[in-house]
Amino acid sequence: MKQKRAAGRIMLAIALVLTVFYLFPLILMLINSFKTTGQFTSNPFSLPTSLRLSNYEQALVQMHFFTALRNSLVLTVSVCAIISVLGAMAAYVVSRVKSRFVSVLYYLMIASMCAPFQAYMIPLVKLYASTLGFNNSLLPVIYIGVGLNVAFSIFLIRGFLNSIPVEIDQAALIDGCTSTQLFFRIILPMLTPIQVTLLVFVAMGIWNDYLLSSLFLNTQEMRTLPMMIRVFCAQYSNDYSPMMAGLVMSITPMLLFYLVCQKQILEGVVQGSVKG
Amino acid sequence: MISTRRQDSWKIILLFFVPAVLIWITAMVIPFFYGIWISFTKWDGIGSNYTLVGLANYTKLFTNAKFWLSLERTAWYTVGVVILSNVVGLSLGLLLTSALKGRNLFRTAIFIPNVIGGVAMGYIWKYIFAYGVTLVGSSLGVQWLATSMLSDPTKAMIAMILVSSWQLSAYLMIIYVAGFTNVPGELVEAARVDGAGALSVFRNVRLPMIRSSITICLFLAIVRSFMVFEVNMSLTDGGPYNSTELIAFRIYNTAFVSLKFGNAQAQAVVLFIIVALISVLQAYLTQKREVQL
Amino acid sequence: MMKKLVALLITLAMLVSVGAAVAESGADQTPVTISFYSTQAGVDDATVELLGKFMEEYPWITVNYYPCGDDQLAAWLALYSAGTAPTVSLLDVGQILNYSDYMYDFTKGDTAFMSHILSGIEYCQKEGSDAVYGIPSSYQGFGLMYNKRLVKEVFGEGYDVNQVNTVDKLVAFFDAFEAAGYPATIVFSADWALGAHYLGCQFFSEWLGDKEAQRAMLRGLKDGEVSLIGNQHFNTLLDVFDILMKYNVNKADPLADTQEGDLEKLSTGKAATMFQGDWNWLQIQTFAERDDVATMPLPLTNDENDPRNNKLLGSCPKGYCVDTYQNTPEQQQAGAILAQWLALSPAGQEFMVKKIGSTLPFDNVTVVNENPLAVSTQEYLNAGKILDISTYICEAPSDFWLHVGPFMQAYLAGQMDRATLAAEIEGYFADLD
Repeated sequence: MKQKRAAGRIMLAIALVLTVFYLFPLILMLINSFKTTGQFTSNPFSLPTSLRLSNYEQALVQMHFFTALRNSLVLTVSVCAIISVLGAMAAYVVSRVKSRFVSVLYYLMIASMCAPFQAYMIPLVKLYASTLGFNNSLLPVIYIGVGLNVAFSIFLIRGFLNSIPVEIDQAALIDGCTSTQLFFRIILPMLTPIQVTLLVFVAMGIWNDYLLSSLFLNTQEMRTLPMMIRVFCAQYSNDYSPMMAGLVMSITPMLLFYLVCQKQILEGVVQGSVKG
Repeated sequence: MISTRRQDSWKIILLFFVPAVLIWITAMVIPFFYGIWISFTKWDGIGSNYTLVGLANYTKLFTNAKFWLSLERTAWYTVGVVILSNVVGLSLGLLLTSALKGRNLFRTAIFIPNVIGGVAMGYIWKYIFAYGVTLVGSSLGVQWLATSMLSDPTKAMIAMILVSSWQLSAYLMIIYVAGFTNVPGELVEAARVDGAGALSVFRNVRLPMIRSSITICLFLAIVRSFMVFEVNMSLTDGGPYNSTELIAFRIYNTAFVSLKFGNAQAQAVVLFIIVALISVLQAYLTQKREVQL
Repeated sequence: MMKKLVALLITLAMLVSVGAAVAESGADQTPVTISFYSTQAGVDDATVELLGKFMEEYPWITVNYYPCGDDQLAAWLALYSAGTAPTVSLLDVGQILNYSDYMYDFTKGDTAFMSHILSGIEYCQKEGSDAVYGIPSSYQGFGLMYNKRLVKEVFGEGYDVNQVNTVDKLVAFFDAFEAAGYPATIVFSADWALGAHYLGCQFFSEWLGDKEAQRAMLRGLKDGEVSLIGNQHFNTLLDVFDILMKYNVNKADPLADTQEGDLEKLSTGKAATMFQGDWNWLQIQTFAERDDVATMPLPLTNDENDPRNNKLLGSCPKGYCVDTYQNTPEQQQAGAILAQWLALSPAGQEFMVKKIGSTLPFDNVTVVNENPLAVSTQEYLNAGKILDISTYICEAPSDFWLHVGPFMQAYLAGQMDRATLAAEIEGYFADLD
């Protein structure tokens, strides 16, 4: 018993050290969000002399923070909502249906994840903005956001589905379920842990995306947080302190989201443990 | 598998699979082929007057030593990042699924590097390397660290690998955590009762159960490393003297600084083929092992 | 019935008077909507406000603003791909000329504005053509920036830095700082600073503003006919660079600096001088505590009367251009009005001076500049003491700095000797197609 407790303490110590290591840049960001840019460049590690909030005020105003936040939220929530259903459905087919058509497409999708974004970014704009007249709306960004993440979501969920025994499906079918019922009533709820994991990844990618959004959203009212954070960068100069304040504010929603997701993952595991 | 009737399979494929495929084709495949077409042209980025040049962009690439050098560097970088991020990510996953007080908070804290986008992260690390690491190096008398790591080609590459792995390991941790939480506790208990040590439990019980997580993580690490762009731009900007200009950054520069769009597209296509071959091969090999187990 | 008739009459009367008002202010102008793309990042709100003023003056023109991010050209090209090319763009002049096929020729419209331009209208022209593709938005000077407080402290009140007009005097100047305990200079090591500014601007200033000579040099490099290692100008440039390297405050680790860090050192007196240009004020002004700074020429030879030792380098870096590829003739006309207004109206000039801190190459400027570096440039410009480098700025390949900057970094770090540097630069030009 004693041995176990000692081991627990050592693990706790290791976890603490690691946490500091991973948190270090955030701590730096926080510290410097209270300093002036001059104080930051002369010594990024010094502590702030006072709790100046002016950087936060400046960031709120200059970034049009709430407009940008709204755009980022609409974009991220929409993509996540669509991808979690669409991806799970498709992954279910890949995992359960034996079909050459499906598996060939699946491997092509995986291969497509290896395509560098630069290879199709200009064509994307040419196709969507000019031919479909989608320019300057969140819609094409949501659509393309889904399109770029769909392969990844199938890839991730399929791995999880493969570990759920087929016997569960068969039992349900014998009980008279249709395949649609089987999927939505039985399979989908079991996917919670991996769905939440997937959402974290997708949300993070979309929340932080700059390049894709910058190609489609050219007016100020449509810009997202990662785009607005750059108001502090001119061509030859950077105003770091308000930028840090802006960053701290931009990442907070994602951190809260992840904290909530953590609980979901654990509950999902408890629910799914029947499959043992 | 679900149903023995063919008709049923097709219905479910049509309903469940085809919508996703359609979006994927329209958002990725068609633009990608458009991009391949551009690689056979000389194009200024604006007009509709593409000049078809056939394979000229490709033949030029094959004789361009700097392109291959950049690819080679990217390969070394990838090897470093894939190994380091997976070892660290897996260890983190193991640690943070054990009975540890406040593990949710630890997970959230470690997750943070991923929420701060790559560009901002790169800038902050640049300062840590320029001021912090050199300070530590000179006060501890470690000559190797007394000058900035970013001003030496080898050390700058190591810095790139460290920062990328630091961020990616936290990303992969999430997948490993999901994997480890799926390992039934009873199985681990049973092994312990049978007298297996911690190491043996890990190797014989846990590791086999998270094979699919490993497959996923290796794949993601390979793809992401080959595509690295933001950290490259903000941390080293390709320097010192171009020694860390990795391939995605080079492609971007060819297009938007040198204004050679056809040439940049050709580089992107070659990169795609190489990464696709490597990662599909990797996925195939590791998945084969999964099945065997 | 009567009521209806009155209502109708009133409506008619209103319509007529509104019509008359429109005709009066716009002289039969039909409403037109145009757009403006600016690579002047970080001042979006002020730009929107400025465009608001324009729309008040020209009520029949509506201007949509497209701000840019870091990826200036990518976002700009994306607008073209989308078929929504901005009517007016503020771009680097080199870029305007790269895409001149799609640009409006200002000589085809009202050319009265050209008389106000002190220097630089010829910058937006192509070799062998009279067409003018852009209106310069600002002027930019390069030289040795110095900390005024340190100069006063080391050399006393009233010291004129223009006395430092030979390389030997520069060395003495630097030695005096070191003797007083101040590092003498900062060599900023970014690839674009070393490539585009030192090896580019400073090098091409050596032809003393001679357009044809600069062209001949560029052409010679492209044709592989120039041997740099045997070139006197090249060696002069690098001899001075060797001196800068010797007195560099970052000498121990020359590639580890950052722009912010370097400018912080200069503006707080941790080092005395730094070779760069007047846009650095944008960064310097973000520091709460700072000394006064100014710019002086960087001497290259030991002849006191050599213009290279007495003049700053300068050119117009950016200009306003109007798209003809995806904009209608009406939009182009409105765009030309906007471009001229941005450059020459009091509101447009106030914006460039107050918000951007730019020097302006026009004869009608009344706004007082608070950027001391720009004030230096303006003084040299007014006195005619500028070596024009526009030919290099406009006609050098767009990726010149990207490829040549790293060679200069290697040279700065002591990893490459001068002969190799010369050969690598020649190699870069040989690989161009």
